[in-house]
Formats: sequence, C-alpha cells, structure tokens
Amino acid sequence: MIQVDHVSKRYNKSALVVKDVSFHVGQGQIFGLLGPNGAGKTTLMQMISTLLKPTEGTIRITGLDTKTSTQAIRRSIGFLTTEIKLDPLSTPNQLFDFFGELYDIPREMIPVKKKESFERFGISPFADKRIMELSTGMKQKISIVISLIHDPHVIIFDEPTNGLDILTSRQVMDYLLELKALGRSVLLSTHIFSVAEQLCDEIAILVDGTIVDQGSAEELTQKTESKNFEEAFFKLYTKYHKEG
Amino acid sequence: MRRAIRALVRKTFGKNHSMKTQASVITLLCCVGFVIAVLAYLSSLALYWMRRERPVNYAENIIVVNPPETWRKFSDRFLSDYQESVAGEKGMLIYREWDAVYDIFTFDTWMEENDAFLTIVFPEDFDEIVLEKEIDELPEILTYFPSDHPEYATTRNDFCETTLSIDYLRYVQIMSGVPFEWGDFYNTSTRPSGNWASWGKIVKERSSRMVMPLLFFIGILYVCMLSGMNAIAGEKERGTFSSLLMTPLSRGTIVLGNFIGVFLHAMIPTCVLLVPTVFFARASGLLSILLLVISLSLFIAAITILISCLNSSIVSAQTTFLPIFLIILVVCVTCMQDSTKNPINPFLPIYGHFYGIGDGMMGTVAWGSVLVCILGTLLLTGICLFVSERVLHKEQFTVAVETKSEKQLRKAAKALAKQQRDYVSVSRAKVFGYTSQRRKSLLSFLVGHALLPLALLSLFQPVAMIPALVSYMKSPESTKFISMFKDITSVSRISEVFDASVKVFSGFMQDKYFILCMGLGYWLVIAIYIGIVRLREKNPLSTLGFPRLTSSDPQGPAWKAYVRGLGLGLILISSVYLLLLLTGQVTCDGFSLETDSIGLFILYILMWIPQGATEEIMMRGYMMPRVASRFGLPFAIFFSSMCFSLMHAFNAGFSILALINLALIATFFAVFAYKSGHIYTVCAMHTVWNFCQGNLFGLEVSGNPGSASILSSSATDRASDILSGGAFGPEGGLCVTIVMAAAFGVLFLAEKRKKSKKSANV
Repeated sequence: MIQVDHVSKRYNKSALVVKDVSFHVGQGQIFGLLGPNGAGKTTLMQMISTLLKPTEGTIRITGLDTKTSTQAIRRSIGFLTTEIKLDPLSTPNQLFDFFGELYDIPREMIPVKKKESFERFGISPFADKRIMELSTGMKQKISIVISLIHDPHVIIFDEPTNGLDILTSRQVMDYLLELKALGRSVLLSTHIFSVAEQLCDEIAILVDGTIVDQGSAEELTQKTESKNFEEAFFKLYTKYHKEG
Repeated sequence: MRRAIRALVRKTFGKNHSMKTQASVITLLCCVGFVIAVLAYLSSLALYWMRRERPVNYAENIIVVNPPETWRKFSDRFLSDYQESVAGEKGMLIYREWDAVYDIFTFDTWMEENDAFLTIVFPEDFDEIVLEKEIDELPEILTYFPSDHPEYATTRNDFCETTLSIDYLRYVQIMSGVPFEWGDFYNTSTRPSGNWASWGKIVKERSSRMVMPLLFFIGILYVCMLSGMNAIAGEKERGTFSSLLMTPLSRGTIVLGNFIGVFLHAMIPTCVLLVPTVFFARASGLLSILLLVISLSLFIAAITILISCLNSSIVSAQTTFLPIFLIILVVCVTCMQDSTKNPINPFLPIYGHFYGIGDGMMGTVAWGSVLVCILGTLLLTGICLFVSERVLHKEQFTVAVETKSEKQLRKAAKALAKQQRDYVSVSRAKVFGYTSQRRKSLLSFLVGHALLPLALLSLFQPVAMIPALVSYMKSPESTKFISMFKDITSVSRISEVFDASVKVFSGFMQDKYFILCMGLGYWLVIAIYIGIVRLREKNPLSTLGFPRLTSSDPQGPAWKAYVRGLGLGLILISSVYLLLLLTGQVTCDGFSLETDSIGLFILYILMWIPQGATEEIMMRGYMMPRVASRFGLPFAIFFSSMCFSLMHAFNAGFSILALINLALIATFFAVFAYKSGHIYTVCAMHTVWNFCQGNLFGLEVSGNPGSASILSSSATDRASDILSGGAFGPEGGLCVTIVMAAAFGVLFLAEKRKKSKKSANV
C-alpha cells in the first residue's frame, strides 16, 4: 500500500534530512518508524502524506505517485501529526462538520459518523466545548477522529500517543489494532518502545535520516544480541549516530 | 467543491483573531483620524455657510483706514456721487484710524458691522512720503474684502482697478508733481470665496467626491485586512492550516473559498455605506457605484489573500499589508485634489474607483472610464488569485520547515545574543534608584532623551502662543514686523527677521494670556512625564526624583526641602545681583511695580512654579538617571547640562559665555540633586532663580526681558556685556560664573564636612 523508494529530502540549502530511505508497508500491516528527535521521522511522514515533495526518489500510495496525484492520495490517507493543530475557538462538533464538508461526506452521514466516533472516544460530553478548554488527551482524540473522518485506507500517525496518559494510549492502540484487523495499512512513528514493540509488525530504526535496520521487534533484538528491544535500539543508535 | 467552498466561506466568518494585533489597532486609529480630519474640513465649510445669514439687500459701504489728506480731497471732489454708483443702493465711505494695517480680524468685524464690501488701508504717513517728491514708487495700499459677496465682485474690481489705481494715482501725481508707479497692490480676501447658494453645492460636492469614496475605501480596506489576514496567515499561525492542506481540496479551492469569504466581509461596510448613497445618487449613478465597489472589494480581497498566503502569522501579514494600505490612502488623498485629475487617471484602478464613486454620487457617470477601470481591476484580481494559488504549492509557504540552513541558524544565534545583551539590565550608576529595564540602540537612546524635552516644549509653546499672537496682530507693532518678511532679500535680512521674531516672542512675556497658557502648558508637560514614568516605564515616582519624604528623613518632609530650595535660590541670585551692583554694571532704580500689573505679577509667580519644576524634571529628574544608568554619572551630568544649555540657544543674546554659564548652573543643580537624592530643592531653586531675575530685580531671564517686576534695574553707561551678560541677562555674564564657582566651592566644602563628620561618628 505504501511504497517508499530511495527517498531523500533537503530543505532549501541545508544538509539532507532524509537520506535514501526505502521501505514497504503492506495491507493490514502496522509499520513503525522509531528514532530519536530530529531523526527525520516527521519529514518522512510529511512527504508520504504529500505535504512535502521528496528531493529524490518516489513514494507510491495504493500505486499512485505522491508527486503527481496528490489530491487522489489525500482522499485515501488519514494523517495525524502534532504539528497539525485544531482551531482553539471551534468546538469538536463544528470541526467535525467542517471537515465532513471538506471531505464531501454525504450530509445525512455526518451526524451518524460523528455520534459513532465521538462515543467511541468519549468525546460526546465535550462536543460543544471550545478546543482551547479541553485537555491535551481530549484534543489528541479529536484530532484522531477528524483525521479518520473519511475512512482512509492508509493511516499515517506521527506520535499518536504523545502526551497521552496510559488509559488513553491504550484506547488509541486498541483502535489501531482494530483498524489493522479491518485491513488498513498503518504507518506509525514513535519514540516510545513499548508502543512500537506491542503494535508494530515491522519496525524501521531511523538514525540521522537513514534507516539503519529493519524487522520485527524480536528480529531486531536477536540480530543485535540484546536482552530486550530497548537495548537493541540503543546499540543500533550508538553504532550509527555520528556526533556533530 | 461547492460544499467545500461554502464551508471555507463560513469558516472565515468564525471568530476573528486578527483584531487584537497592534497593527490592526494602529490602522483603525489611522482610519478614524483620517475620517475625522476630512469631516472637520467639511464641517468648517458648513460653518461658514451657516454664518452667512445676512440679507442680500444691504447697503454697500467702503471702509477707509487712515485716510490721508489727498484721499479726503480726492473723494470730496470725485466720489461725491459714490452713493448712487454702487449697485443702486446707498453706499458710504466710512473713515477709521487704525495702526495695525495687517489686522484682518478687526477689518473683518468692521465690514460685518457696517455692511462694507471693501476696506482700503493706507499707511499712516502716506501723504508725507508722497509729497516729499523723492520717491519713484508709491507706498503700498492694502485692500481687504469679504469674498462671500460675489455679487459685488465687479463693483469691487472696478473700484480697485479704476478709481483707486488710475484716478487716484493720477490725482496724487498731479498733487505731488512727480510721475511714479504703484507699488505692490495687495488685494486680500478675509474669508474663503463663495456665496450663500453655492455653499450648499460645494458641501454636497465635496462630501460626494471626497467623504463617500474615502469611507468606502477605508471600510473595505480595513475589513479586508482583518478577515483576509485571519483567513490563511491566521490559520498558519495557529497551526490549523496543515489540516486544511491534508484534505483532498485543491489549492485553488482553498484560495477561492477564503477569497469569497473575505469578499463577503468587505461587502458588509459596502452595504452599510450604500444606504445613504441611495438617497443621494440617481439610478445610473447607483449602478456605477455598486459595480465599482464590488470590483474594488474583489481586488482588495485578492490582495489580502495573496499577502496572507505569503506570510505565516497575522502580525507579519498585517505589517506587509500596512504599506499597501497607506499607499492606497495616499492615492485617495491625491484624488481629492483637483489638480491631479488628468484624463488617464479615471481609467486606472483605485484612481478610477475614487473618481467613479464621486461621479456616481453627483450623477455625472462616465461609463467608458468606469467600465475600463472595472475590467482592469478584475484582471488584477485574477492575477492576484493565480499567484496566491501558485504560492500555496511552494513548501516554504505551507509547511513549517523544521531544519534551518546554517546561515539561518547563525542569524538566529546572533539575534538571540543581541536580545540578551539588550535586555539584560546593567546599570552603571544608580541615580534616584533608577535601574534600566531595557536597552535601546545607542542612537535612539540619546536622540530620544535629547529630543523628548524639545519635542514636548515645541508642542505646547506654539499652542500657548495663539491667544497672544491674535492680540499681537491687532496691535500696531505687528505692521512693522509683518512688513519685514516682505523685504527679505538677503541673508543678513534673514538674521534681522530672526532677531525681530525673538523680540516679538519676548514681547509675549507681557501678555497675561500667554503667561497663563504657558503655566498650564508646563503643568501638562509635568503630567506627561509622570505618565511616561508611571505608565510606560512602570516605575515609581522616586525614579523621577520625587521620593516620598517624611519628617523622619534627614532632609525632612518634601515641603521643607522645597522651602529650603527657595531660600538657597534666593541667596544665589541675590549674590549675583549684589555683584552686579558692586561692579557697577547695573543700578537699582527703585520700586517699580504698578498696581495694574499686579495681576500679571501673580500670573508670573504661578507660571514660574511649574516652569522651574518642568525643566528640572526634564533634565535632572528624567534624563539624568536614565542616561546615568547606561553611561555612568559623569556623562549623564555632562549630557543633561549640555542639553539644558542648548535648549536656550534660540533665546536673544545667546553667547558662548551664556552656554558655559547655563551648563555650570545645570551642573550645579545636577550635583545638588544627585547628592540630595531628590529634586524638590532644585525645583524650588530653579523657580526662585528665574522669578527673582525677572520679577524681583527686573533683569532679563535667559534672553527674555522681565516685566511686572518689584524693583527696576537698568544697565549703567560703563556696563560691559562680558560682566553683565547684555541682552541675555546676568546668565550671559561673568558675574554668574563667579557666583556659580563660589557655589561649587561651598557645596564641595559642605560635602567634605559631612564626610568628616560621618567618619568621626564611626
């Protein structure tokens, strides 16, 4: 579903932020990108979700090139990142209606969908409060609901459990597993090991813009002869990270 | 796509975030000020119109001021039939005597009272000059007329050009036996021109051609700025724009949706303003106005959307838009002037809109230019929207770029370092407990401190001068003074005129209203300084040299410190006067205060109190601690003293010695204030110093002659300017230097004694 081939990215005149990255995410698979801050995860995800254009290489989603068929791709992906914020003065209700209109969801379907997803995440009691009055966790849940408003086939979540308590994280993770069961492809970036370990079928370790190793959590642990996945990550990181 | 556009349009009508920025507040204030100015202009026209309520059928008389003998003879002989000659009404020559030949106020009143349509003013010594026979040019004769009598324009011109210029000239030539030419012939209007009926027309035309277009422009510009900047730049600032970009909408749809929203916003003021237009304009005019304002709103909306796309925050977008806003306003102003109307302008956007709206109001629509202008505007609108759409494809305008290039990083580090350097509060010297909170750049710091007193004084002094100036115009002295300006032919004349102006200003020192207004003005300046310190700096008043002193303080309560200052000041200035007497520079002519100048004397006292305090607050209270905190105390004393000294450079008789003396006095006050920790005492010293010079001993105060003085003093024959200071007063002479040197000595000794006492106690 997501095919990334030798992708590199350079902003204006700076050095390469993402260097020659390739991977594949199949249907019904959860793929994790794991790396420290500044490794290039967000840039990579923004490229996959058509917000940025790769300097080199190609990205295909459901067979379509992100450089050319942007609009068609945006219709089939749901993208969530911490950089995208919700209008602080709107209410969840208004936002849902607004994005429903933008995604051209049939008018009679909007209230039905809204009720279903708001109840699932426990947003209903807050549906008429302004975003600025809500907690971080609630905001994140609303973001998730809105990014999945159009039932996308490909889901790209940048740090979805960032700033959430254990209960809410659990809720989000369960939901992702549910989506996986429905045959959706999920690309997930995180720096939390437990999330990566529990959720992902395959994990790519990203250090300084390059994928240094790839495989399931167990595979990586075995490959690096570590006690657990966390240690495996540190070994890989110290091996490949160049100072300065 | 239609649903999406509708949703985007609705979104622009959501809560507006851009109203709270400073740029929008400044723009709003500009707009309000602008409209008020134009309305004030119009209402002044209307006031003139309303004043004209005299009946049209009135006797037409001529006022002749200072008629010379030749004129009386001339009029007896040739103007005896004058009564029948003017407009078939009874007309008379009314003779008056008046010294001030430029006093338009008096002449206007006379003409109003006597139903005169012309005033002829002869110089007082007209006959003497003419009959001396040695001139080749007649002295000037001035004529004044109220120009709102257009029905008498012909009569007036006939009278001036035939009777006065030819017949009377010939008569004078015969009398004197010398052929000569007229000098300049002045024909001065005392009121703007027009008549009863035409005023209404003028006011309607001006309001149609100036106010209505301007209101449309300001309304559309302001509303577009608020909503346009909020639409895309605001979304970027709040981080919600990316979620919009992630939807399957094309960039074009996003631009279009926001554009329509902003346009609909602009239609709100437009619709409101169209309501009064309906009552003024005819159908065709209304149609043209409607088309023009719609195209204008589209164009401005497109510009704001383009700027919004290019910027990533509301403030930066508004700041970008502000120059465009001002340029358009300037274009509006040029459109208000008839002289800029050329055949091409009505076809151009903005120009064409302004003229077109005015034409529509007046019912003189030129459809050709209106249509060309609208088409041009629509084309520009399309270009703006196209560019906006292209801009949204560029990554740098849509997604926040995380990684910065090396150059950007270096720049950011530099900016941070500068910020830290500028904002760290390091005080080099602490005066009156002041510590700087923020560092400005060196130049703006010094210029701000040196120019603030000048700016404030130059703001209120001319205002205080207005009543004095009006009464001066009515006095005979003004005649000579104004005629000086006409004779400026060389540089040396300019300096003469300058000296004369200074003298005129000094003359105002005898005017009650001037003294009163000055006093009030000084209080105002004090209030401004208190405002600066309390509201802007948010510092206590003690940093202005006004700490709260109680009786437990070693110096006693504030009033005691003030009274001590009065005593010390009296001692200082008395020693100067004594020295002047002893060296034989001046003689005391005894008691001179007259009973009718007691009022002025009291006003003087009331003026000197805030005057002394103001100068002390400016230089010692405000400037010294602030300069000291950055450059140290010695420089602060030097700088404030030089500023104080140079502030008097425009006074009469200013010399190098005066500069040095004033700097010495200022330095003494500065050191005294610094040592005492407040400025109560120096305020009183300053007040009493000036008061005694001007109103006790009758000397000049820094070049200003004293009046209403208790004693009167005059310079002796052997007085030298070096010792006595000449026209500048004692402050320009060596006597003050000597006394100030002695005062420094006493101050030094007192400090030394204080120190030794302290060490003895320890």
